[in-house]
Amino acid sequence: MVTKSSFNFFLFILVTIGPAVSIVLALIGYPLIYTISLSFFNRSIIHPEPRFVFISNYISLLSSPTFYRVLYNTLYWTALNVVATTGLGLITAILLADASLKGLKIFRPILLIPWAISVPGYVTWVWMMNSDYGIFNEILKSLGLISHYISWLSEGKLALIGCTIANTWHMYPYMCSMILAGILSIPNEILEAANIDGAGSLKRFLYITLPLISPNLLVAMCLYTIWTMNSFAPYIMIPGGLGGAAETLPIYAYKMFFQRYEFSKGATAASILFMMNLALAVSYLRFLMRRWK
Amino acid sequence: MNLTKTFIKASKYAALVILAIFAMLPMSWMLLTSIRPPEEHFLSPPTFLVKKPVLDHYLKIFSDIRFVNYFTNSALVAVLTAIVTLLIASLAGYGFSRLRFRSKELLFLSIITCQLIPLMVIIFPIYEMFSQLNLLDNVVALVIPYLILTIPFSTWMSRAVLSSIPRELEEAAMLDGCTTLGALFRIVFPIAAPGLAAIVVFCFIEAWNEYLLALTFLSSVEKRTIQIGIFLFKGEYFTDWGALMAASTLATIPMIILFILIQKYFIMGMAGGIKGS
Repeated sequence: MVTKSSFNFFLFILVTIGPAVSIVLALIGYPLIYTISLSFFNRSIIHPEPRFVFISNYISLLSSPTFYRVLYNTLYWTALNVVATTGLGLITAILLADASLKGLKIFRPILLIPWAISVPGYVTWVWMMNSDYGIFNEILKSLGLISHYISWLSEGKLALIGCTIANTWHMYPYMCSMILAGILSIPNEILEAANIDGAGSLKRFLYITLPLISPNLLVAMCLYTIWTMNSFAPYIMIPGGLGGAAETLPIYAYKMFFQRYEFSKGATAASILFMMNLALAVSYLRFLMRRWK
Repeated sequence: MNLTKTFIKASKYAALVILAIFAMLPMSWMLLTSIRPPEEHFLSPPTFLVKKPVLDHYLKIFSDIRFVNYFTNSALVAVLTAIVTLLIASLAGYGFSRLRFRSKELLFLSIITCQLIPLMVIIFPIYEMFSQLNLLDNVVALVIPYLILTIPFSTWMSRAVLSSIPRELEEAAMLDGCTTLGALFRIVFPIAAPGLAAIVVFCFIEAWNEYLLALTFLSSVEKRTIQIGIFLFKGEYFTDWGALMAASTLATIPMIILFILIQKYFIMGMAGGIKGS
């Protein structure tokens, strides 16, 4: 009886959790090992037979100026987006959690909807940022923020900033909802008690709300940093890359794999990207587990 | 005192309205461009006013068989991804919410961790695998890599949904003679239906909006999904903005409807880490 039920139990685990785990292992575990090992070989369209070269792919990548430009772009792009999205998400969440305001039921879907619109949204931003006929330029100009139209997406220095504006539009609902969940879970009594003790709204935010939402915020920021680092938004908006000005590490790796057929070079860049993500992923998981406890 | 309070409240509303305009701006501009006649596209300065609204761009898309294909392809891959994910993730979610065994949390965490793996590290080996199995350029086969994107958050969500259903209900059903699986399909899943439906919708949105895998795995022109197909109108030297924006509007409308349907589950879905491409 005992053996039968434990056999059943094992079978049940296999049937329920088995498919999910095996798909994940097959589609992520194996390719991950494959790519990392490919980075130690030399393989491309001209050398289809892989040859073991140990770390010489890494050495040649790390000694090329292109790599540092790409790396700089990646970090710049990630930093811009994390700051902009977190800031906008925080402001939106605070407003949407404010019970003294009316009509939030209408505002909430309107403010969160950009999340559901990806490629069409990016393409529309390309059109809106057009240097001659772009409405975004016209709006900024009529608000007095710029004196003449800016070519957001065709000037090297501005390209990633332009992409950041579009990406922030698309992704701030994620940050907003993560922060909103944190704010809404704060018991009202705590804030009321602070109010009675004479704490103003700024003090209440800094000393009560912010510490209490920080677990949510850290988890969201970690995950978002990883996503942004791997984002293809600059490629969707500026496929040509503007002579490398809008090229981040994942885009560089993608071009090596699928446009220049330098498979090992692509694998090397992808492995470096993976290692950069690993540190972030470890802290994400630590924050996540701390929140669970 | 009262005056400052009113002022603060007014500025909060003002902030909400400005944010709402920012959020709606691309959608409005997309729609306006799509109904503008071609001669009104290149106005300097651009204006929100449409003098002579036309439906030409929409007619152009509807009469183009390629676009009909793109929408069917997108719908097909999104529906299949949603169904397959639901089957796998709801079972996994059930297992994680009900069973107790060693290394359960480790397994769960390993599935969640998959959201953190950059696509770039796995895309090339999967591409080669697909090329050996002759699965490239196959819309249905695209569902397989899409599962990487949907299974982690769906497992998370279905665990959360199913954990909220009391165990006693199943136990009562089993006393009445149901098997474990019978209780699962007759009692648990029907109660969890709204939450599971939200998972289906999230998977649909995720698959519909996906760009990179569709770009890489589908090469022939007629097999694209709509996210790739719209770029047919975007050229290096000339872009047909009217048609491009009309196609974009058509690709966006289903997303807006679905989003409004699952609004209630949005926060929960985000907590599970849905990227939304």
